[in-house]
Amino acid sequence: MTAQRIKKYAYRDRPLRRALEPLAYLAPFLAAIAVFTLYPVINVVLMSFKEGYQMLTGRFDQVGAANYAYVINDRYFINALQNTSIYVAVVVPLSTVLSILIANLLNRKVKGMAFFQTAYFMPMVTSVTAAGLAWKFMFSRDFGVINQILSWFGVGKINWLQAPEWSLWALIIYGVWSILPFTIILMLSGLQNIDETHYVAARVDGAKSARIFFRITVPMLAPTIGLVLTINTISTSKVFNEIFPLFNGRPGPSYNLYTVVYYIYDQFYIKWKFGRAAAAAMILFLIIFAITMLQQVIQRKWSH
Amino acid sequence: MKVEMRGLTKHFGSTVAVEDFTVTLEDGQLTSILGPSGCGKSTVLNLLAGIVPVTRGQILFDAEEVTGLPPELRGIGLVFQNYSLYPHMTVLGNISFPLEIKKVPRAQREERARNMAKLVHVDNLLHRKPRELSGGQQQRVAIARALVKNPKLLLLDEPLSNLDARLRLEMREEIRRIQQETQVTTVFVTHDQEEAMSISDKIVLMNAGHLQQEDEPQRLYNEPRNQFVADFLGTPPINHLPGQMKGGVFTMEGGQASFPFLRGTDAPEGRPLILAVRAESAHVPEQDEDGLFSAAVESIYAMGKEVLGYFGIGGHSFRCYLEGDMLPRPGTELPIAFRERGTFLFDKETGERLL
Repeated sequence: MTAQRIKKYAYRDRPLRRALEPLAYLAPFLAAIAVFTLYPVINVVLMSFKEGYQMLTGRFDQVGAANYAYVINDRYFINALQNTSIYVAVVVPLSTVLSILIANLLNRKVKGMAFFQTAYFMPMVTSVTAAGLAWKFMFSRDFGVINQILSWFGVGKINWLQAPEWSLWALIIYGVWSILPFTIILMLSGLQNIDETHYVAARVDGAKSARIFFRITVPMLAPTIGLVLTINTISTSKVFNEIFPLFNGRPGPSYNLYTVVYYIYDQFYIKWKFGRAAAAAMILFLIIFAITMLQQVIQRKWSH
Repeated sequence: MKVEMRGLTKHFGSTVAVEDFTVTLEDGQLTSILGPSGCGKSTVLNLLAGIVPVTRGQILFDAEEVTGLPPELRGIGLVFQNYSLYPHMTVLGNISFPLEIKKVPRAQREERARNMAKLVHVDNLLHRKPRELSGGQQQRVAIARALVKNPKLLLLDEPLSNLDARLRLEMREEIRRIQQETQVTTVFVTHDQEEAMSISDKIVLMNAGHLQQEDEPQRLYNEPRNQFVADFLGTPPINHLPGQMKGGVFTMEGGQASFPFLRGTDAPEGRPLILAVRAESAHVPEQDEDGLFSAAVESIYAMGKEVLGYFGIGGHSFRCYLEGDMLPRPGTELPIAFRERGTFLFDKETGERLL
């Protein structure tokens, strides 16, 4: 017994085995990462430089930047960039502000709060596609509840889904709705990290709700707001799923609502231009990367 | 400002936090509310602050009723256990925030904040953020923030319990100094008897929501009104010897010892009693025959300036300070005598003091 134990320890003390053993435990995970993350990423980078690449045979004409040249000169890609930019620029701030306000309401101990919490978190547990269909009905020009509500305020019927000039706004409204619950959860957890005594201290000193909100709640929520901005900028830049159910599987009523990811999808699966799809993906990656870095720098300056 | 609490009662649902609490705090004094955790002392503070509504009873500030007044109209300064400084504001910002709320012009509020910072000795840290400060410095800033609007009443909720032992000593002297310089009426909530003893003009001792005794620290120690007060104050804790009166003589449970009292008592015969003796009130007499009883040494703790002996008597442990050069071996039988001062007799059931 004792001898066995000693032998085992001696075995363990071999430096090589000591170094390799953890690696063996990590191997399954590392293998999965390598196959499903690392390999595809490297492949996309390589693919974006292969001209005339054939997915099935693996053959290509030459290596060069032609895919990039095509993509940045393609008016559909430019349009996709514009749409995506507007989408991000509206959805991110709007959802951030709304989520702070709603999280503040949900953070109170009031009777019936469970109902509201369920209501606000509903989008999280419904599929984007199913909910998208429901929104399609709500956006309907003649029978939709949205136009009906707007009519109470004297707004005429809006052709949300068929009029190209309105379709992006329909997408934005739907986008805010679908991103809100997760954002609210983050904000709620941020709010719950603020010690109650900060509010008590301010209240004892005579601060009113508005001042407490802007001078204490929001600044103390700053780290969470920063996190939300980063996460939501990344996720909204990849807007794609929301388009399908709203516009019958087309990028907008008159092919006007390409987003960057929709463009990538289109090039890859529909047009079989794998190199162009990869090039567009690389451009999107670089843009998101740059924006995120910028955000990090700004946040570091702002946070306490 | 003179603060009167009359029949103050607070129930949380069916839980009684404070019951029929009547205490008056004199103007310019520092009063400690002392008691074990959960005794209702923080609730009293919150009732004074107006953060928690009163169930029953009255609060008067300078003879004016404030019971229903919201906190911001009471003119109080509040210091929390965790300081609750605003992490995104500098020291200056934190101290001047109460004035900002009152819409005091910037130049004026900064000047007042600077003066306050000088009083609490943080005037060299004005532009730091709270996380760049030590615990003691944060505490000072919190006190400055509470004092900057010249409150009539300063409320401190366990202000020292987040500090390490050395800082705690330093800060309690600082709080005393600041209080005496500003002459602000102060309530200091603590569970630490030593803290309360050293800092207060008056101690209000609470247990289970009820007032036990209010008195000057030394009187509280020397003249406890009941057994709880005697037990709560003093380190090491007061000794207990259970017994009863038999023929005018106190007889210990089990009969190991019986002795007449130095003072006469009219404690009823046969009723279970507790004889409580402070460790410094018991001693080993030079003549054996002067002892009231003898007990065997169990262990000895030499703690520098003094030696504490643990004795066993009738299954009870008895603590007693020994003369400096005495280091008896465990097992030695020694005589023990009491001094009159620091020796009390309590009714075992009611805790009422009989002698």
